[in-house]
Amino acid sequence: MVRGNDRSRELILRRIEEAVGFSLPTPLPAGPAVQRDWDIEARFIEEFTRAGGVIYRAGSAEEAGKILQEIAREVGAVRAARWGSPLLDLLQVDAVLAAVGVNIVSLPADDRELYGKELDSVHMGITEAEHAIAETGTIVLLADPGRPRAVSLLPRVHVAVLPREALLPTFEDLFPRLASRGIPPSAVTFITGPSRTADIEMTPVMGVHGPQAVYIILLESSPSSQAR
Amino acid sequence: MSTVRVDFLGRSKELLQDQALQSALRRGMSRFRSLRREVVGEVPEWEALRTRAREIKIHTLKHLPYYLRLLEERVQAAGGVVHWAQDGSEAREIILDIARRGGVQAAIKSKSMTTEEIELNAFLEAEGIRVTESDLGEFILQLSGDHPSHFVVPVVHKSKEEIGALFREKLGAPELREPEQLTRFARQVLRERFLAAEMGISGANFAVAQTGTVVIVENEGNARLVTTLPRIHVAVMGIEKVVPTLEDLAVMFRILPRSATGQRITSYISLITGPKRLGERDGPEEFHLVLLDNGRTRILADPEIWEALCCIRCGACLNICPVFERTGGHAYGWVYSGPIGAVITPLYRGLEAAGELPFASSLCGACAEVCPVKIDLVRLLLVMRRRAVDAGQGVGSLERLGFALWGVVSRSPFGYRVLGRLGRFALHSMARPERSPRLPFPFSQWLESRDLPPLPKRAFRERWRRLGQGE
Amino acid sequence: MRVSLFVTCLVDQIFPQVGEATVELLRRVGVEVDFPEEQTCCGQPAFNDGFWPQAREVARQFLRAFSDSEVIVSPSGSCVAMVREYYPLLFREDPQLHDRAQEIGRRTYELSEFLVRVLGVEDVGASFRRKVTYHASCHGLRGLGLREEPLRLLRNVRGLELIDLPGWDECCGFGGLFSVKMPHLSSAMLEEKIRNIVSTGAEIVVATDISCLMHIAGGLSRKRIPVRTMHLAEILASTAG
Repeated sequence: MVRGNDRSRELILRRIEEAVGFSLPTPLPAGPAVQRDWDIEARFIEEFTRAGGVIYRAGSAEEAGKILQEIAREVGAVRAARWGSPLLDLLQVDAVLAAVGVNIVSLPADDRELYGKELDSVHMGITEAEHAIAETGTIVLLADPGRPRAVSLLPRVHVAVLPREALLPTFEDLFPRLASRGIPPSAVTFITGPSRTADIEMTPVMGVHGPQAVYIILLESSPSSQAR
Repeated sequence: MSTVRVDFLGRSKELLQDQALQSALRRGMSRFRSLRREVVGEVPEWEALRTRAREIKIHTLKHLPYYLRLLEERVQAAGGVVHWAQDGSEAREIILDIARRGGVQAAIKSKSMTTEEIELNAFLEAEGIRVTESDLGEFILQLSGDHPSHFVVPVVHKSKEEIGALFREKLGAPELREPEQLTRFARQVLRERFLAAEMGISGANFAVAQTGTVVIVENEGNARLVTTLPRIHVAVMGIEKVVPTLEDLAVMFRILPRSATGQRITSYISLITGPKRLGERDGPEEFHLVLLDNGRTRILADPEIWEALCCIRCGACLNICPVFERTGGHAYGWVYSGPIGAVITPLYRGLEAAGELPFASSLCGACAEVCPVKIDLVRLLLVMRRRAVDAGQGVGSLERLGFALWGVVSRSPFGYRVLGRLGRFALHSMARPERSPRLPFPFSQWLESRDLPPLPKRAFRERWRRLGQGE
Repeated sequence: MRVSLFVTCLVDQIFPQVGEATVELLRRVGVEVDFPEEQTCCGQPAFNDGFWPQAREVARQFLRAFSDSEVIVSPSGSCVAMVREYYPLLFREDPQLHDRAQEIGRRTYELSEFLVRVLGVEDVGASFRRKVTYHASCHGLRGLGLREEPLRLLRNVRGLELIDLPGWDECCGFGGLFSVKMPHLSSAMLEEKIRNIVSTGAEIVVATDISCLMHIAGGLSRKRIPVRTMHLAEILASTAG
């Protein structure tokens, strides 16, 4: 933005240049090597569970559907929201949940406040996870028009469907992929377990502002490869 | 600079007497230490990571003009706006201007030491904009009108009973006693504020120059809400927080959570690049990055102490410091406390205001050992002590006189021997066990809790001489 | 082998027996010891308190006094850390003195460091039948990296029962002038150190730095706790049964 702020910008940059000079950096050589010698699926499950998340494996789209129904029953969900993503469409999430009396709400598009209130009143948010980091048990969510950020944030429960192929060993494996996209998505969110705090007397409490519980349905095989 | 004077000696004496605070600090800091030990112990390449993290920071600082320009370009390419603030006052005006243009009546914040540094909340409130802190600890502080006592766990000094009483008084809460109940209640209250706020204000742990991405590391989820629901997002960040590439984040993700809270990783890390894109349902329509100088360029131009800018605000040095454990953050008088605070507070606020702080340490060096970016905190404390002395701060006239004499006398073997004999004689006569010993100030302070050692008749060198070659 | 003893002002003036034990010990392991009489103090008290010009004056005398010494050995981790780590900083503006300081630092050793790393000796033929607990002085531990050396030497002392000290690597609270400038904090740290010592049931607490021991002894004495303090050199020099 070109404003009176230009002057401050010039002054600050000038002071920095007086301090360290101006030079084009040569990129740093590679950093220390990172361990990767563990089974990524086992490690992911261990870490995600250790962080307080719950993970189920599904061998098929049908199994995934059943698990989703089970989770909905367990958390007493009546209303849910989901991402509009091909994988979730393929899993027929709307039908699967309707079968157990859970209604998928459609989220208001133009009213920010209404959007927030609606999503806040929903019990369960269902998303995909495009990537996952096994080392830390972290799922990675990328924002785009069909994949709003708050679906994994406002509802009390977050369910993420994670295809096994999305598993990567470490962050070092993920970042080059992100970097190769050019401009990253508006938001890349790393989620490891439910939200938490220890602000009061250092006592850990799960479920602060973000979801109280996170479930992952790990898809062992891609649903599109199955006959339906 | 600041007209406020830090009174570490006075405050720390009071705080040491506060039994409730002492237990809270003991419990909190020892827990952090043992968690940290555990998760660091799992990483055999920990030392290599520290070296690498420092390397990344130093490299970035050396090329800061390049990286800041690149960051600005990339943020703009993503549709964001970059503002440059020379000091706190400018930063506040920039943020107010953004708020006014946006018709903002209510703002919601996630934790940001930088916004505390520039005293943003009071300013915005005075301008009629309601500001809510959404981090649980900061929210509690906002209700109590208090200041953080630790930058990671800001209300470590408050008991759950105190917090319960506070919620009853300020929020009309029912009788709640347990952390879980209190947290649930706060969640509810804050939800309303999240949904109503037009502007979200956050800090940033890092900003990636290569992609124009701002990075926020958290556990509660409030920063995600702050950067997702309101129409406008303002991120305030010190200019030293930039890192070159996304890959550099991998190292930072390994060292920051482990050093700060003893976690392998936090519940959430958000990478935010510009405002929301066309068609996205949530995310801000406007994204503003306020780059703050406020003295950082002055530190950068100071080769003796510029490595202090490597700090990633993890708090590990606070958690390990035996002095901090016995005083908490309030003794340091400003937003940055512990060993790093003792170094940078006089740098930001002046030696006249805070020249006492570098002396609030026994120089045990535990801080430097745990610093994930290998800042040589002991050396920095020593350098700041020298600067304080040169500026007439942190030392009394007795000390000055004492060392002036000592310097002149001790540099010559003869003078040193005479001083030694005189000193022992004086000590011996003043502090004979039969009488109640007395020493002049400040040495009298020794005697408050300690006895003097028994004094030998002859110094080693006298015995060596007498014994020929010491047989 | 011949070394020069850097006795340190505190040992020289207040705890000469530690200097004597150091000499005795070094001779026993076959090292000849001389004592450059022109030595005074390393300058640390002034340096730590921010009085660098005064520290420099005194440090210059150190460089003079030890200019002919090939190897310098000292019973103090903090003084050796001063010479090795901080003399180059102290003399940063004088290239000649800076280089001399760096060079001399390379041949200055703390006692346990010298025995274990230079001589390769871990058993000095000592015997000392007591329950002993070890406190790691900060400068030795973090400044010189002396994690293992004193312990290895102690473990080889015949009859010595070495008991682990809880918080063995935590500061005793001395910190030079910190002990009188922030006495309340210094005493609070000392209290905890003493509590830990007492909890071990040891009769003796040992360290590589007499400054820590003076501080700890001062507190033990005031509290009338019968635990004694001894310097590492004194224990290692002991051949008593």
